[in-house]
Amino acid sequence: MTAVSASGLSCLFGTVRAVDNVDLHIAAGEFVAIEGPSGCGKSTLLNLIAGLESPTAGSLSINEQDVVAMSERERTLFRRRHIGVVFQLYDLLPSLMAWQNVAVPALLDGGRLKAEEARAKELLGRVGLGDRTDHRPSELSGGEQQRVAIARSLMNEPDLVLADEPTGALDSVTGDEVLSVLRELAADGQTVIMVTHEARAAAYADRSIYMLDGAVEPEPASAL
Amino acid sequence: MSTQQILLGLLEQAPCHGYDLKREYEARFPDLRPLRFSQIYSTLGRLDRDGLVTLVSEGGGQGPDKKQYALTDSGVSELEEWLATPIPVGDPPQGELFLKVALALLSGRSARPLLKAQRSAHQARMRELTKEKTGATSEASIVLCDYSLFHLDADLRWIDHTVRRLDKLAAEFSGPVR
Repeated sequence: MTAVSASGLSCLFGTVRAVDNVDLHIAAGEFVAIEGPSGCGKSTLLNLIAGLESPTAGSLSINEQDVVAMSERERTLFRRRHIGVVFQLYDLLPSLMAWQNVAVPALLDGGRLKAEEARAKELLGRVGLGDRTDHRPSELSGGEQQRVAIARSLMNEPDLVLADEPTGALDSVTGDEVLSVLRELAADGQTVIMVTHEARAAAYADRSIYMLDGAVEPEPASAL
Repeated sequence: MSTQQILLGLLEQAPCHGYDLKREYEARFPDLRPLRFSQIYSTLGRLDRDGLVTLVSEGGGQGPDKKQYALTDSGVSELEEWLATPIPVGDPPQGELFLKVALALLSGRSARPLLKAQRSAHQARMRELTKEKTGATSEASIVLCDYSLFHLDADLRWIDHTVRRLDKLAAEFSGPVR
């Protein structure tokens, strides 16, 4: 099963080629890091995969479904059901408890809060926060908030988890804890794509895609 | 790494035979290079001669291992001084990579393929070390893996930084020596 397949994928912002003719193949169950310096186009590529940006050229399939051909509404529904997203700054709702934050994606999909409680709490247990389910974001550390965000990304049983600089706001020790959680998800068969500019973070993935000036750098024929 | 300081550090815990020192060292530091018996006995002899350890008994073991040593006050002072002294800061050994880049440019070749291949080799090693780290059962092993990971990370930053300066560097190498 192919999780992500792209060919000649491009995204222009005015005259800037943020993503330039990218070919991509990511198999289901892979943990892939997209690396590169600031402004290389890695976050735009992730946003294209997430359906948050539209390509200006090329093809893109997620789970072997052509997402370019979808209408805006179809793409939003597709994203809710098939893709979980983790952002750099967690983006939790401050007034909600941890488990309620985790349940939010199910509510958007028509679920009722009370009915989702058990599953939300189970997911918090999976990321090592079984004893913090009723805490609000302000009562949690940065690393804990990011783990809540990871649990939230899993709520709708996505085929794909996308993480945009998930350790960008964390110190190295806390960052390692968050990356270990992503590594464990991948070990359980979850496809994970993570954008990072940190080589230490990328080393948690099975492989890296390196971007420079909007393009994916080809792998060298052989490592030294 | 100095065998002398290692033995002083271990002997401070309790008087020991050479065999115990080897066993304790290997149990504490399984990721470091093992010490040979001959190294341990010859070092203990030197430490004894210099008054840093003293013989406390001559029974229990066999051969040279009959001797049990303890740390003296001078030994404690020596250890304390060593522990408080930062290691000398030298330039990291990246001369070869710089030289390869420079000679490629000097001969009119591109240095890009080399730097890409080096980046790939560094990434592969970092993935291996990260796998080792996530499977580690002791904090000491984790910290030791991180030591290598942070150094490789610094190399990678230099590689990326240099890739972005290659055009200027090539121009410099294509001209006469200033």
